[in-house]
Amino acid sequence: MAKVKNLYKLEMKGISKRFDKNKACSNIDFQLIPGEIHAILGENEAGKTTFASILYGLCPTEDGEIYIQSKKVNISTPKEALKHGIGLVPQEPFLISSINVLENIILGSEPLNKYLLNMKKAHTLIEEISQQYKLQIDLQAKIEELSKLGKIKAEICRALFRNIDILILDEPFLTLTPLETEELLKLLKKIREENKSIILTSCKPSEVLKIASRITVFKEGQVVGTVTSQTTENELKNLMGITSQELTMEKQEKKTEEIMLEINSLVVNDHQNRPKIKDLSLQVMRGEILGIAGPEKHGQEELVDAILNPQRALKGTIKLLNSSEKKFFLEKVALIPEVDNNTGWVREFPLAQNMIIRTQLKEPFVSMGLLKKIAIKNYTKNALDDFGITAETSRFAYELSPSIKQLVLTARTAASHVELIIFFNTTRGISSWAKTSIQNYILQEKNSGKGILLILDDLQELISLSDRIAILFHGQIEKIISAKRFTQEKLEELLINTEKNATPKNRGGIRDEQQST
Amino acid sequence: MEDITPISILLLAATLKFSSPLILAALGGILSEKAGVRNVGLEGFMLLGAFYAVAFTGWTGNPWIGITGAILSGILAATILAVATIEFKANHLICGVAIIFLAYGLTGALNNSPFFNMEQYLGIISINYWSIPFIKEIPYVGVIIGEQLPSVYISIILLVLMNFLLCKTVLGLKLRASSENPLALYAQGVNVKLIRYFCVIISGMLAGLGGGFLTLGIFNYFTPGITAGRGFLALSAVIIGRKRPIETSVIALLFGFLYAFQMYAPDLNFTFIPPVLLILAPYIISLALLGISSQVHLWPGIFKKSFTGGD
Amino acid sequence: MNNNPLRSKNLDTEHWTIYFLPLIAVIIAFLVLTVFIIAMGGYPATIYRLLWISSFASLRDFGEVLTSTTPIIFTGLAFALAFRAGLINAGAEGQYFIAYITAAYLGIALTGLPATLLIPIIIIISMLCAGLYGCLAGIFKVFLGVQEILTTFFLNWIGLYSIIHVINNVLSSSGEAGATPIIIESARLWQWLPGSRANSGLIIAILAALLIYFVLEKTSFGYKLKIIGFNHKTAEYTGINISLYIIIIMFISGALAGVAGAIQVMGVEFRAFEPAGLFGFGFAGIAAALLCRNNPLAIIITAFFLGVLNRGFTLIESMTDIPQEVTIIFQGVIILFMASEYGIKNLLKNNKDISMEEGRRD
Repeated sequence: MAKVKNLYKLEMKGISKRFDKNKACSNIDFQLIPGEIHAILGENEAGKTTFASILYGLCPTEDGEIYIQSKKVNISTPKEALKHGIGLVPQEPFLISSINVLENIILGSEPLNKYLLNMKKAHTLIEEISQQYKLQIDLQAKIEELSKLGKIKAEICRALFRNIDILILDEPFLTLTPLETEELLKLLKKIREENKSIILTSCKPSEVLKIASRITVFKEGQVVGTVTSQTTENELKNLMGITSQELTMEKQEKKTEEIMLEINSLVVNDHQNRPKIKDLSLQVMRGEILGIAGPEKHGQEELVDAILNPQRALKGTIKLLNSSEKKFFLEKVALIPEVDNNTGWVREFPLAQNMIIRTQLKEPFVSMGLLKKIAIKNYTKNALDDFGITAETSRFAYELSPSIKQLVLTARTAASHVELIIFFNTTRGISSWAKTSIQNYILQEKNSGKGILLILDDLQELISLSDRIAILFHGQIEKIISAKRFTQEKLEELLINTEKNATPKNRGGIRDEQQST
Repeated sequence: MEDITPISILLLAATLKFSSPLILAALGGILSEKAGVRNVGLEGFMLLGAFYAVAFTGWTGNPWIGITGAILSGILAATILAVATIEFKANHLICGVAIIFLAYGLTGALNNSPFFNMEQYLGIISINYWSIPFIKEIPYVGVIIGEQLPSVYISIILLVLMNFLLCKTVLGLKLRASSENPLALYAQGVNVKLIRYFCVIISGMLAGLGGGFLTLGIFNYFTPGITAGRGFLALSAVIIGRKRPIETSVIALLFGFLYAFQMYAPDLNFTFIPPVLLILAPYIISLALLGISSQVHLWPGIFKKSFTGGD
Repeated sequence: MNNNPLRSKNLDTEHWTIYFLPLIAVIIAFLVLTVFIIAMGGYPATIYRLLWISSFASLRDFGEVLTSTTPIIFTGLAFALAFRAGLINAGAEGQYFIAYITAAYLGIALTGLPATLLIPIIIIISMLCAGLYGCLAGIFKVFLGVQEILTTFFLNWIGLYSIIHVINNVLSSSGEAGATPIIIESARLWQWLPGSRANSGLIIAILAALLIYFVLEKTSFGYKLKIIGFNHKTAEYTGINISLYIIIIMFISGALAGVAGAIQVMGVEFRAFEPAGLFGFGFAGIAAALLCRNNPLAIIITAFFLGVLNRGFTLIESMTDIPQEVTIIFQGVIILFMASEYGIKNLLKNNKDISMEEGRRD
């Protein structure tokens, strides 16, 4: 494939893109060498996803030029991108659950038998690719049966089937377990050996250094520089503009042994009535941060739902300060979800009306069934001021940037008098200054004696904040450890072991349950 | 010959006859539902088809030109719906309601206009039955299926075609994939818009065809609001039958049976049932089935083989 | 994730077009109407002059306009309230029928009560019946998962055929076919404009619009209702019993449509006539509500506008060849246009938007 050594496989010059008022990418130059793994590193909101979308034709732009093998090309739809041998594995895989894995893979380039579909041929072709790269995917499975890695593998398989040369992966390692990350890294290396080029985006320097041969750093929609893998983590962080902000808050020892939240043998089903939490027990003390680690979709959502509304529990008890009254939970438990999750947030409302959702829907903001608009407005203003947010209270919620949105939610929680706060990937996908400020807030609330449940997929962050860490696996707490003695590596190892030990039994279990429903 | 045929056989024959327009519309409903458009407008397409079938037949004297008119009117109305929902991203349900408004208004207004004056065609327009040579001779079976409205045969053929289309062709695969995540489909280089236009317009065509046979084959006249919810019955059949052609047709047959029963109830000595209940029966039973089907998996193993592409 | 271009769909409320779109919708509807009139062999100028005369030439005509405005205000409110909670109540017609027949029955049956007592009793009982009928759609949605648009449409036909049956077989008057006996004197509303049938129902309608506005904007009930309309997850998080609220909202919505039916009997017709078809005041309410984006106060204006057309074309039909049903086409065009609002706005802004997101509401 590689004809001339210094010929770039892909070259992009002066790529720009703006959305409404914000510039997502400006004047980006980028080169890709054949057979390399090229990482795009940058903070969230630095324009990585936009860059990937432009290259794949999902959000075409007129500014800038794209050359493939020195030939100028115009990519304005995914169809054209595929024609030029570019494939994308997006952050949330583009898989369709109404058709099975095999059909998903061949979608768009179906093997034909004259004019009709030839599923047999498709099966053998895909099976071949699967064997060659040791993908181990069940072609007849339904999409919802696949794990996150399974979905990524299906996407990669589709790209390989289409014989693409340039594979873009957008944040592939996000939400993968350590074991899955290892597997994906191996797979990517194997693909590179076939002389295909890989572009992957990430926001973690440590991950990127494991695999990439060259790294281009993005900051605020611009390229800051391209370096080789001989660099160090700190150097990368400097380029990204992460000044290692120290947390201003200090973690204090908890003063009492009062139990804030007590869950005993809890059973919760999801909305399709599939069992998700099975016989789970845990306690959160006053002034304690309990971290929850574990692969995603293993019951986290249902656990949070049940704590927010104890009536979701099928069996078992949930007690907050020895009470299980629904009204008490409504006033004393708050959730700050991740950016894309709009639970507790109405995009179409002005900020002020968003501030009284759940915990503050009572006197003095609601009296005799009437909304007290002035009181709500003043309350909002004060709450935002306390957090240094200078947004008008009449601004609509959808106008806020993700980081500001998370800060507003935090400010809302800070102003309300709750006892237990659930952080569910709150800091995922926001810029580092907002992250630091939320982390400070978490510690501050801990020190002031509140109970905190911290669900995070960033293990390092989890360890640095938590007092204890519970490992949630298939709806059960596998183990509870003290965070003090743990490092990220040890926790990763622990998670890998849990996964390995449980794999045969539990995976089978999940299958059976799904088939029986 | 007819005189000695048992009523039950006549009832079955009438069931097929009454359900065929519903099946045609429901097949259209399946297509648009697959493309992710909940097509409340079916009622409107059927009504327009019913009107123009009579009008064109009345002018030309040829019922097949009437059927062509029905199809064209369905296609035109469906194009409006398609542009609004696909191009302008309008709410499907509200747009469907708007289509019903337009259809009721247009047919109601034209019905009495001197230009159309639909009353003059009362009873004189009709479409000839098709007969199948050998089957016609078989006792009983011949009465049921040997000599029937063309729509019965057309709906059977289209049913087979639809199953084939969905299972065996590339378009079918794309259709099955297009209802839930259009972006994912677009990302694979598939022209989602084109597929959606195709589905909505074909659904208009089929519903118009059904409406045409309703007036030409069954009522032999037109009166405003003649479809009386048959479009909604077809849509319910699609939902109850989970977008699968065979199951949907079975439900449509049931509704057809209710209409046939309404006609034959006096002959069958079912006079103790008040006539108003017979009129209401399709609506009530449809509501009941919609309620039950969302709670229970109505279709375990038996029908699975007909269509294995997921639901 | 954050600058994800695929999710940047925001309604730009500041853009000037937002104020003018309803106006454009009306203009386009008039254009369609004009084309139709020409096609039917009428002279648009003559027809529109007739439309003006039949509505504003005399106090009596104006009173008749108000008579047909009143029920549209109610059915418009019924649709708007449900729509704000994300529900599509297309069943105002059926709910109207139920209250219509209930009021006619009570107006005949309840004798010996003073008007001050009888009138509220009839209105309230009719409202309750219509409300319960609307409630059915809510119950079907909550407990059985049936989309309310299907339920309400089926309930329309069930209501239609039921009351035709009742009027002809149960409550039939001896003299005429297709109508009930006339209701007693003390069950009638005050017709305050001599020569026309304009009645005190209009005052109730305006009060109802004010009340619904107040409820939506100032009360916690309205606040919760809007949360349900925008985001079910947040409603759950807020601790709202969504199922209960949906049933209550459908009840209120049905009851509002019901008042229209009761007033039509008590203030206008004094008896129940067999309905000519499905498309009456109930469906006109949908157009009235959508034209003003479900704003309860503005519904008074849009309902008046549709009332003018309604009254005008009823008269025009008797004088020319232009049938009354053109008003349904007019309403259909308005609904279609207002539903396409988002896309049209994008078109005007020349926005190239590849997002596949659609207005589907399940």
